Amino acid sequence: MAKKHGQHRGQKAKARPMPIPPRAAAEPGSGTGAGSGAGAGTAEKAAPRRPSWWFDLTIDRDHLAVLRFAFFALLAVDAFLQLSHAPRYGAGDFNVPHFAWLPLPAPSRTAMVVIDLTMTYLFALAALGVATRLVVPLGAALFNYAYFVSQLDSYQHHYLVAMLLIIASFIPWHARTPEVRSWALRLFTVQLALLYLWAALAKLEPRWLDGSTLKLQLRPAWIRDLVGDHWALVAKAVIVGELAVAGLWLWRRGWLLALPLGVGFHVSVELAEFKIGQFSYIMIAIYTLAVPTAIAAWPARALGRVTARLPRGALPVAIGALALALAAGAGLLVAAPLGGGAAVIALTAAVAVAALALDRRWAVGVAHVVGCAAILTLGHVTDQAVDHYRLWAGSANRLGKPAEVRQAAEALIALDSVSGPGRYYLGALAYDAGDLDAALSHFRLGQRGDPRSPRLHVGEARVLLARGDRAGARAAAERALALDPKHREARSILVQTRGETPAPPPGSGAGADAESDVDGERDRE
Amino acid sequence: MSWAELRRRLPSWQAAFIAAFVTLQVVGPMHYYCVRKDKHDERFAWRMFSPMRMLDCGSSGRQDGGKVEFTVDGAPVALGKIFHEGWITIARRGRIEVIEAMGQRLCELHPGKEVKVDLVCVEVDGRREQRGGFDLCKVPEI
Repeated sequence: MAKKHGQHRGQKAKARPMPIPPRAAAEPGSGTGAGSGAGAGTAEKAAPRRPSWWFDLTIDRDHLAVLRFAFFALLAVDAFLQLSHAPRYGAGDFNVPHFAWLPLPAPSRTAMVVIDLTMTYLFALAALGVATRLVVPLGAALFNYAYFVSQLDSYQHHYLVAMLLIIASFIPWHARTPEVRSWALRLFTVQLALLYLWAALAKLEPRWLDGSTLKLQLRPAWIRDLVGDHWALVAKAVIVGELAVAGLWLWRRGWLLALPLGVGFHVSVELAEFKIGQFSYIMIAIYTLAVPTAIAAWPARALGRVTARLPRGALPVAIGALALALAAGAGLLVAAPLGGGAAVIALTAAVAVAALALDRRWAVGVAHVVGCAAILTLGHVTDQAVDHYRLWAGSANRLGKPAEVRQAAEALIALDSVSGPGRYYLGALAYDAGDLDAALSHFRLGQRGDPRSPRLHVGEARVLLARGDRAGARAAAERALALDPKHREARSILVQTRGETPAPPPGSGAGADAESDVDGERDRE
Repeated sequence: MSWAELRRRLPSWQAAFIAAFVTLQVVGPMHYYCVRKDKHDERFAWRMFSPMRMLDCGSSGRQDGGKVEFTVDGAPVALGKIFHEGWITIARRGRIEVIEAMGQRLCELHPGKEVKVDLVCVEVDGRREQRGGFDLCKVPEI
């Protein structure tokens, strides 16, 4: 590799972003056009150098733009969707990093919120192609910290994204030439090939080959019906498919063949309902690299036509636009259900100012507003903010942190005054403090927002029982049992209303019982 | 040899980066197959949907399934009151490094006491594997 690279050392030394010189060589047989046509006379004079497989991969700018938009837009969404998991970091003052020798600061809920939101913003800017030389490496650094700091995130696809982002930091996303040569893009495809290769090799064992593992993992009935008794055949086909795609990613012309195979495979994985987050979508986004040039050119050129009509302002205009954008961005983040507070406002503003220093266009200001608006929009169209506080309250409750339970519950109430989980935890805290009136009020308000939650009726039953209102307690317990006939606490209260066993006194810590602990996280590996 | 000549002969930083990266992506998975003592830990090995993923060390909740049970001086520990459930889920997938770290945490919380773990994992083909049963404060590795 070093020898091959040495052959074109003189050309590479100057070169990031490595725009293609008129006579730059494409990959042998790639047919990407960078090496054909103009400049043939010059080539006759100089000895033609042998193209390097590693260093001379070329791609048209349209493909790069489509990949950039699809890949980073999905990463922005994926980063935001990590917010609900942030409360697990630092909970119970316990953490196991992926590598104990890495000197990473210990994670915390607050820090992870700031990191997830900042990543959302950075990837939104990257998707828009603004200051990619700054925002992509910054996003890569934050993503790698968030992944490697704790084994709580052991998603293989997040490890893949961590690696791809490191490589993506060296891809010349900002290149303005029609075709771009990039060693980093080659490494990007090699990383994909290695992923498929190892995934295939891992399956070369009897438990996969006989189809038994696949049979256990595939749940949807229609897929099971489709496969019938051919589990071993399908299991072997998966291996062959993965090996084929691994090989095809290493061959420029093969990308087109990898497209139906790879997309078909990842669509199947998604239809099979594996709990793998955004993995399938991110992989399909990466396959935009392999779509025919005419298809890749269409969205990129449509966007180009729009941006070409926009006025080009001088630097003072760009500065003014950014000043306005910073104010607008701060407003959007304050209005977001989980905006991260002053830290995220300050960090995003600092990134925007640095971006303007690199990329002196008024588009930086627009991108800043879009990045902040993405946080606001995702906050409203997803359940991440509610899930974040709900899971925090549940976790803090289990770990015996009443102050944190209150903080999380009050945040839920701020989002929705009749939030079921919020009112439940506040009611449980009030019950434990002996404030039965407040507890009853919280449980009843919660029922308005979440009438299908048995624990709110159980809470009301417990308060009424403590007050000596056996008839009321019985009615509330029966409502809980109508929603969940197996609810043991409701059954227990029903027995107590008959006077057979005494009710637990308020303050006994029974406010939030174990059975009502439904605010737990799903498996995440 | 002059500095300029040395620089010319040495690989560029890009070539060195590529070599390091590819080596990492070859050595990482090889480490799983050749060195790693905990085959339940599939991190960095690109083992997507592997049979090991179906390992049950208590995640199924079945009576005949696996289990991860800690005791302090013989008394069972309510893990959910000490560790976030994310860690308990990982432990139930049989990741030894995390189970050992949980043991050490319990040793810190209960100085001078005996902390034991009883780990039973059931593989996809029904094979059962048992570990632990000794004082983790004295022998921290299972």
